[in-house]
Amino acid sequence: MNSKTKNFSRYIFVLGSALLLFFGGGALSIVWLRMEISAVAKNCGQLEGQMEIVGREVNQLRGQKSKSLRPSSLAVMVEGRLSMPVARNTFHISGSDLVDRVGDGRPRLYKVQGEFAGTR
Amino acid sequence: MKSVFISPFRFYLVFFAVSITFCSLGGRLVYLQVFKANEFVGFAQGARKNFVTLKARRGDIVDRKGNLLATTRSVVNVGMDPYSIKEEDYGKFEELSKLLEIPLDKIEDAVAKKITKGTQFKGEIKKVRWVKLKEEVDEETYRKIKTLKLDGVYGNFKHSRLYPGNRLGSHILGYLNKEGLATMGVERFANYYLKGQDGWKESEKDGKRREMPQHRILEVSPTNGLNVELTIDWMIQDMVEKELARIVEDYNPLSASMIVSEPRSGNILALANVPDFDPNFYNKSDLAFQRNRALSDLYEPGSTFKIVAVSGCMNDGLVDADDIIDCSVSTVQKGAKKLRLPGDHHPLGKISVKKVVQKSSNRGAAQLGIKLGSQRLYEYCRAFGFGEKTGFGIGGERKGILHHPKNWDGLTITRLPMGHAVSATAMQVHSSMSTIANGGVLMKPKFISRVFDEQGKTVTPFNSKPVRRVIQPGVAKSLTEMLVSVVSNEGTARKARVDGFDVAGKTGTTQKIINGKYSRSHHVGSFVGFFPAEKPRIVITVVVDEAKMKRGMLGYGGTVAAPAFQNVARKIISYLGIEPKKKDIKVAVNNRNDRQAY
Repeated sequence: MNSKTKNFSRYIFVLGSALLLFFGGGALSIVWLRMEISAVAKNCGQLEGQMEIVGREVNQLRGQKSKSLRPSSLAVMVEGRLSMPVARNTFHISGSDLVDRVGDGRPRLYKVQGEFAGTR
Repeated sequence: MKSVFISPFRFYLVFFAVSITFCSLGGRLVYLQVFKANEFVGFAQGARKNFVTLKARRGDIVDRKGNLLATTRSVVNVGMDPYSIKEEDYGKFEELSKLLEIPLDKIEDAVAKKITKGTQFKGEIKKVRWVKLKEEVDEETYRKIKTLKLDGVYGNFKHSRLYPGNRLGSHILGYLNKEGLATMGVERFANYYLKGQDGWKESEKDGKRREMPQHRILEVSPTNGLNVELTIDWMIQDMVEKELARIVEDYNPLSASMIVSEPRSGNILALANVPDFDPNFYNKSDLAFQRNRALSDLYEPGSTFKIVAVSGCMNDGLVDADDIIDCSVSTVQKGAKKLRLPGDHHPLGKISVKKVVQKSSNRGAAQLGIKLGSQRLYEYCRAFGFGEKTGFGIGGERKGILHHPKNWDGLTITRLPMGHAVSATAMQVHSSMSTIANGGVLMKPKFISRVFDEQGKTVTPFNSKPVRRVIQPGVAKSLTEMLVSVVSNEGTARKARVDGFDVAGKTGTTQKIINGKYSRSHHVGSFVGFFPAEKPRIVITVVVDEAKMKRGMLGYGGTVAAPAFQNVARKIISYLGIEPKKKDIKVAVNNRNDRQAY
């Protein structure tokens, strides 16, 4: 075997190895990629399932909360302790009433203290 | 070298045998791949492909403050595959029966039920791979069942409607039946908005029937239903239902209805009837209990109808509030005809139109009807909404009975003004009084305020709709003043008074027709009124059918319905913080100052 043939054989070997490496590596990469995609998809599927469960629980809890907050349930909870104020115990204060008491410089019944609605 | 000679017979024998074998195999392949291809491809795909319908969640129904009245939750239909149950798991059945709250026998029967008769041909036997154990099991219970690790026991999720208020507003809300069909109420009326659109996904499944998301081919997400906001206020609805429960306890009537609304907008704040039902268990209630009687049951409105003739006469300028009507006469000459007038409970003599309303004089109302004339009286009846549906929207509404004048007999002109010879629903009577409260404009009753999406954004607003102007504002004001005098010490509805407020209203008591005659012991008592009279905010109608009274008393509207109005009105005033008349505020504030000065 002369040196020219040897070089050619070496060239073929290197090329073959490179091609094998390229295609083999590529094939393995594709397999790896597909496995990763499968793993991610599986993970997504599980998360979707969990989200669905949480969604279902939220709806269930909303229903239960609403059931507990219905007027008759609340009335039973505070029976004998709290009740709706009757009309004679309800005082309607107009804007002028408020000015009468806190809005001028004269001695007044009520002092302005703290924050009031609409002052911020 | 050895001879390789083969006898021709053996050669051909082997040759043909091999050829036939290959031909058979080839033929079989052609049969399977060509002739049976579709069937087997379908079979393979069916085993591998996973097609799942993604059910849209039905929208919620909320009251005007956002309280949940109807919602959708997920429940599980639990069942078992008898072929997958292992013998070592039989010991867990007792625990399973406790969790499902079903008898142990039912589970044992389910395990034993492995075959059933088919329907495709005679003598067909099919394997049973699913036996339902219990429907609508909540998810928490299902999780506990899963911890038992019973192979073959599993559940299918489905949506189920929940009405958290139980009976609250049942006639307004309606319900979904077992097939998921909206049967009545808002559920049916707003089904188009509530139902949503189902989605679907197509993917592949593994040997254990688990979805392989990486092989998902197509996915169309479901579009959940929109939410509906009602004009109903569940606090007021609760007040009304409690009051109806009291009426049932005190009078045990055949039925009773109450309606509360805002006259300016036509918004219905509460509507309830007894008997009622729990929409969560609709199949356990009598069908008659599911009827929305306020819309479907007809009754003669009686004296509450007198507002039509009086306001008609005043609107046409035929009488004023102070004009005198002679209620001592029993007949009136109308052209060639002599018309017999109905009687009053007490002789009233000559009284003003205002007194006719205050004392609820039948003779006075009849004479006003005669003054108005058949045609105009009929036209005012129609204008107030009698003889036609209010357009409320919820099914089952009836238009009532109001005959055209050409079909009237000689008595109708004197009986119609006092609310006889006409049949109406509680909603129609309510609408007519709301017209007076609204300055003479008839509004369409409204129970939905808007349709909104998951973010709370309004998709479809439902605006208030005025139907027509029935009477002039001045006439409505004069009539209101007359109706205020009804709810006074001199009027028929003193039990409807509310401290600090001018209440306008009218009682009604009608004898029911039993066996073709007006009965003296069967009455429909009603009261319809509004407050504050000077600036009406709330209209309330109470109708009590056949109240059972003690000591031979009669179920007059002023006795059975007016107190119910008063009770509910007081509660609503406290709840909504409705301001009393100015003079009372000063009294209240001065009292408060006195107390706090010390």
